[in-house]
Amino acid sequence: MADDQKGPVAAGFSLLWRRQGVLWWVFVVNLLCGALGAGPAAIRTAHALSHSLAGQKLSNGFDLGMFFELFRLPDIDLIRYSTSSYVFAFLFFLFMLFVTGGILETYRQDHRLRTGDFFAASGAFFWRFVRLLLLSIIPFAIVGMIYQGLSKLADHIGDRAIADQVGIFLGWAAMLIFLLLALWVRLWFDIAQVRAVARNERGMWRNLWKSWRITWHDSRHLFRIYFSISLVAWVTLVIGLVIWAHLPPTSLPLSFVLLELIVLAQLMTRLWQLASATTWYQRHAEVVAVEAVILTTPHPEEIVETTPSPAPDLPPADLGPELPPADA
Amino acid sequence: MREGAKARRQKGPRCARAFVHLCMCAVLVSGCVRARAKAQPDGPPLDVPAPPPRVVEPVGNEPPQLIPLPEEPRRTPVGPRATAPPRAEQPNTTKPEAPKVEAAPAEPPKSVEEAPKPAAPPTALQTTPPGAQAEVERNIRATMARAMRAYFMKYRFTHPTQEDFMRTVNEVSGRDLSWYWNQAMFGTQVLDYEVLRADSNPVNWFDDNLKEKKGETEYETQVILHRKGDFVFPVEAVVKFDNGETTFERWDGKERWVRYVYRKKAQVESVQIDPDYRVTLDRDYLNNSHTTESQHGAVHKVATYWMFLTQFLAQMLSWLA
Repeated sequence: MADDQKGPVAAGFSLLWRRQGVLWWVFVVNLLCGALGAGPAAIRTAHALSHSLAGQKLSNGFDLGMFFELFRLPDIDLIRYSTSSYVFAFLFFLFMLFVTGGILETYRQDHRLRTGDFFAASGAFFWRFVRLLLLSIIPFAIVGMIYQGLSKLADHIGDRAIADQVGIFLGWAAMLIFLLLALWVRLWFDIAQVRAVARNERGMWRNLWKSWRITWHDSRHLFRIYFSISLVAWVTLVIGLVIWAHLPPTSLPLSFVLLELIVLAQLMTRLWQLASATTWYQRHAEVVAVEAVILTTPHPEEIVETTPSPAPDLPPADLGPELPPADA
Repeated sequence: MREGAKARRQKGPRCARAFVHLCMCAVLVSGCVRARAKAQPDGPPLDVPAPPPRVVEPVGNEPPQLIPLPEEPRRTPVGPRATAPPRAEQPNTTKPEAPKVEAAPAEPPKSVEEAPKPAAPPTALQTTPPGAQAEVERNIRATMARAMRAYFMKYRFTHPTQEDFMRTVNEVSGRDLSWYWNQAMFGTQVLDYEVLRADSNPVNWFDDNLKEKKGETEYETQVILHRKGDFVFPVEAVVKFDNGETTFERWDGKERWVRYVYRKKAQVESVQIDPDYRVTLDRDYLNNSHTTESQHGAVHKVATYWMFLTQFLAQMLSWLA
């Protein structure tokens, strides 16, 4: 394979590009979830603004005061309609949790799976990944507590410092440490997912322990992969938002396209991380034969119907004495 | 038998417990009754000199000195005053441009518990056409600055009340603003105006062969302004027609609603109450205007941003999966 000469990041991107159908499907589902989540709020806004000149403050610019009026006024109360956004965001989360198995299987085999095979792999790993998700609460909670402690320490130092901005900078540093630690935990659990798919591992505690050892052993290399891809995600997000801020306020179609491109870039970087982790695992971690795991649905066996043929002339079996009729 | 004995056995401790609780309550209540703030100092009173006599200039009996406000420029076209007494709609044959005004009957008097109604709302607004807005703004600011200065100079080193402040503003502005103070300072009324209706229909709508032509067909336009809240405040409204004509209307807001009827060879395009956003007490600005054409730009923008935020939130959440 030509990707053998590339590093894991470049090879992961090549893999993502070859299997870009996965990305488009995920994006379409994300778009649908966004549209359905925004629907009630849009209907409510249309009810309030479709015949009001106050809407011009939003369409010919973006008057934040008028926008917050939509949240403040009890007759409109857009906050109430944010529930649907949360619901559909959670549905997308569940969807991603479900299809991660199929995505990793696609990346592992590096060929286009049939729809049935894709969802078979997704279903096969769903509950294992749910268990991994539940286990991931522990390290994420620890990271959160570390962040709380660091931010309190930053406040403590900032209150006693002579310079005004010491507390702010320390707070940013605490946030940076939190993001890096969270990225490391994500990396660890991604390797666990990749390993679970590669080895068809069922015991998630054991899988997590092995993944920890793998990740810890080659931590610097792996973290560099994830950090560089995350950097791409952050940079694209910032660039996209800067361009969006400089767009004319009335160019709504352009704004829509740009915002969707930002979302697409975010999804792409996430799948890029998964593809790179898969590539790295296949090269460096453990040698697993690709054929070792068979998750594809078995093809139905060919059923050959035998055509009724004339019975051969066999000598009559000895059935014993013939029974007399019942009414006899 | 055994249950009876058990009940008797339990009765004794229960009575004792109730007695103990009763005693504790009595002790607590007596403690509360005896508890008093120690207002009187224990030591001898301080030797504090008597405060100087308060010199307050009497202002109540003298009539306020009127300060002339800038002359309000005349507007064109001028519709009838919304404060005119209600009258029946009459066929407007001689001057089709002049709108008719129909006001809702006055509200019944409020109960005693409610804040007093404004004494005498002014019949005219202190508003000017958009060209002279800056002048009016400057005069209002100057009047308010004079009032604040007078208030400070008069009551410095004393303890004025809010009545003192309101009286000073009344004196300096030369107007009796008690109708406003009663509602804004002492009342709980909500100020909210809305455009209830604005539409145009052909005058000869019954004609089967009617063919509407812009600039030729005569329309009857009805505009209804509605005071949703109980706060009475004079407002002005701007009615725009599709031939570019603009009409300013003034309404004292005393009635619950008012209807303006126009006969023009143009259809109404938009109506807006308080176009200069001067009535900052208005609770809901969104219903202060009405357009006959749908305004989809704002809705699409809010929907687009909302969708992006939902997608981004979903994507961030899926990072945990």
